[in-house]
Amino acid sequence: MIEINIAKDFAETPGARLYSDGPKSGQEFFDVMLKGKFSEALEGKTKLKIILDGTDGFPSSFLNEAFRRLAETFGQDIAWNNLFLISNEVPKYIQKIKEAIYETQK
Amino acid sequence: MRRITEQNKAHFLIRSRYELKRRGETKLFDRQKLFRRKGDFPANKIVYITIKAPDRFKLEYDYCNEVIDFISRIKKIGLRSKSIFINLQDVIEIGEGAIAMLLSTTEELTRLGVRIKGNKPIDKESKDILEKSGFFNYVIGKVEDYNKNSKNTILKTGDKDTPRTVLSTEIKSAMDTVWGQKGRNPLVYSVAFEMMRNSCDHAFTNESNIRWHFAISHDDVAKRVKFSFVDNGKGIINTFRTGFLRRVLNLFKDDSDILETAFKDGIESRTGLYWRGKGLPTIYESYEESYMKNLLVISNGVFIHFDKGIKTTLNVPFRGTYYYWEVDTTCKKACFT
Repeated sequence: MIEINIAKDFAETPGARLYSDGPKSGQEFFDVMLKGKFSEALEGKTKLKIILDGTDGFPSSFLNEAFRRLAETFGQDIAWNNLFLISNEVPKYIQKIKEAIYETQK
Repeated sequence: MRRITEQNKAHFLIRSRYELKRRGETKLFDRQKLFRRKGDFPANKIVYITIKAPDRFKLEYDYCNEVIDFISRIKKIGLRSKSIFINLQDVIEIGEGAIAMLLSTTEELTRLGVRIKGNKPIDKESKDILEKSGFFNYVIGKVEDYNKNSKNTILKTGDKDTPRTVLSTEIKSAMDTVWGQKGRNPLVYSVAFEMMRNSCDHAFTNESNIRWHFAISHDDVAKRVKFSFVDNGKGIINTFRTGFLRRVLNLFKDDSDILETAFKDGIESRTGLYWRGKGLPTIYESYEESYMKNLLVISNGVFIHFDKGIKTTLNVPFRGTYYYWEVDTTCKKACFT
């Protein structure tokens, strides 16, 4: 399984939504890490494991932007069904990610 | 060559002011210079207009109108007279939130060229709270030695680049006060971050004007940390009124209904309009899940204290947004090392 540990691999203090909002944004996370690793996981016919624990906290806009873009790029069901999310510290982040992935259906 | 009289000088100043206005220049006009006449004042003497603070200088419901009125008078008189003296000497109760609001207002005026002086409360407890708050990190004033080692602080930003690592360090220190161990609290961090983002994204029309102050006050004995966040931007309700809600305002009873709905995530369900801004609901969610308590919001003309179920309109609107909340040992623990 391919893995991203956001705190270790990207940022302990994730930023907001877009590049224009400052460093380590959700858009940046999607561009430099999530998109590539997810493609890799799909090619390897495996899931992408994402560890959400260990950060200082996620702004709602970070998760929303990164995973909304994932759904836009790969499709909502493909995005959701190929993620394996770990969030023991704040379990509700998983629900937020699901909402972000399926938000365009609203 | 004919000598310029005082009358001529005043005439030229009025003309120059008119010219500046005509050209759209924003340079402030020095009224004192205009009205200074030979014999009226010594040439270099600056006349400060005194504005007296309410005795109970805290943003609780019972005193809030007086404090907001005081803040509003500082802004109005400051812009008019350009030299003000803030008199705090009769203050007998003071809150960190009101201090942050005062600091935010005085900094805004100072940037506009207003000269500000002031004094401290005579009441010892109030004076100590003021000195410990971090107010004097930004304002020149003597701090007693015994108040210098306070963990309390006021963070501020001068631009859109939010100092996330500083915020993170302060939250860890707050958890030390509450739980006896330094640790991350992702929920409290997110709440503070959402407030800052809202301030950066919506509160100010001009990016260079973005200013907020975030006060963190520790009570080691009660194992409680008080957080106050203030910005002098447009305010939440004005943001909605001028934004996407302006066409559906009839769906809301009044401004307090708009504000309460915005926090409780009802904007989308009430209006049917998809709303990306999840910041305010995220704040309310953490409050509802008991990771924080005593959430209080003042924005434009509305005062909401969620714990006490108070939702009211203020006599004097506050231009901007103020949040207050607390974390103590009665809150749900979220502290990760």
